[in-house]
Amino acid sequence: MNTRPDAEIHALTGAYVLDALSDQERAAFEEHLGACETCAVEVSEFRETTARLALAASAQPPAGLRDAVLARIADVRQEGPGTGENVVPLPRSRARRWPLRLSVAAAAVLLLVSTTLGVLLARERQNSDDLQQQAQAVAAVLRSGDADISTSVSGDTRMTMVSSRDQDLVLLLADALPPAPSGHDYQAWTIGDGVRAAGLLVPRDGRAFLAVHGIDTATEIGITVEPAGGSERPTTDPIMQLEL
Amino acid sequence: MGDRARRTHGTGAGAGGPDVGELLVRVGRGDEAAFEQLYDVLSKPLYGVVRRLVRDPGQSEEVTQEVMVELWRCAGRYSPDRGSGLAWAMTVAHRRAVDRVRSAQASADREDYVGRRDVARPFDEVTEQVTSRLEQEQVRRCLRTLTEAQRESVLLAYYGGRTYREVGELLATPLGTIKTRMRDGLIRLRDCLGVAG
Ligand SMILES: [Zn+2]
Repeated sequence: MNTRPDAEIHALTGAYVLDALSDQERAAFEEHLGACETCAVEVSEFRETTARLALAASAQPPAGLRDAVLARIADVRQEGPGTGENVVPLPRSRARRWPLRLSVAAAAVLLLVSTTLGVLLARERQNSDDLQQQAQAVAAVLRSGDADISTSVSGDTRMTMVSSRDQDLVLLLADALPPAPSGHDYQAWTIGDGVRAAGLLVPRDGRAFLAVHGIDTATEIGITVEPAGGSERPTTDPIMQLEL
Repeated sequence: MGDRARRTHGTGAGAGGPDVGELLVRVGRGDEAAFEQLYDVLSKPLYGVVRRLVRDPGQSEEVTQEVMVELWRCAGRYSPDRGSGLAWAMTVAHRRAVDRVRSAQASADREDYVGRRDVARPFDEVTEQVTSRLEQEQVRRCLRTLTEAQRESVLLAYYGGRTYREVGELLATPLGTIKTRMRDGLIRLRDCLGVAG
């Protein structure tokens, strides 16, 4: 039997199509796939094969799911080559909110948070203690019973907010946030009886993360564009408002 | 919610319904009507697979919804030279469901879950009578052309969401053997089903 590494990697077609590889192995195999015609053909055939396994497992989804899915796509921007034309305009900043079930939804947020933190961590080594603390804060919020997640979409930007009254904490995660105009920063505010500065959102490769402690009576989080470093009071209209 | 037009539910479109590839192309251009049809064609196999992977009905519903939204989001990446629309969509769906399950189960209940072997028994209570009998019979018959060990490895991964390492541990079998079984099992299944790439 041939045990050269390149011979071994061809044998991974099955495990790859069955999604049975680790993330690293998957990435390595995908690289191989780009260069190996034999594996590419086999993978394509195996995909048609597993699609039959899916068909054979068909089950009737719950009745309400269809409407729920159709309602959700209104807020979701499409990506990819087809997006240039005929794109349905997105409602601006329409927030959707659902109670956190500490299961799949939490896992998804956790994944998003850890990806975001991971990216930031890789770029800002010196602040890693800070980020570690933030990661712990996220975990604490997700564990607390009253955590609430909502997402808002404005243009390409997707803002996810995880809030907990118990923990007196709001976590903001921005995705696809364009850089602030030159000489400016994005600043977050808690809005309630008064308006209080809550920190800057500084995107790195489109991602930004901010933990806001002390929400007390606030009913909203607003985000404005301010001169670099932030202001004491908002000087412009919010580009995004998130209801708590 | 509920502010969108409510349309009649399609009846089991199955394999004879509209072509998934064509629907995907239209969905990729933002065609919402095509997306509704896509839902009607894909929701059953998708939900069926997710139910097997996730088990809990409530969570299965959530994951199915996630996957459908993901398909809406990335349909523009599909092109017919990437294989059939069904295979492409189920590839996106399976990978995403598996990723979700693995991250959700990075907790204690995973241990308990890994011990379950009943996923390897094809077509149990989850499969209601929504697949055409013929389709199911054919797949069932072709699965019998695999060795027991191959069948177990393939199904633990596909319906059970196990990595080949986990399958190896579960079956106390060397990893190289498991990889080979997965590949050989899929080759037999492919040949029996007469699938073209
Ligand atoms: Zn190869």
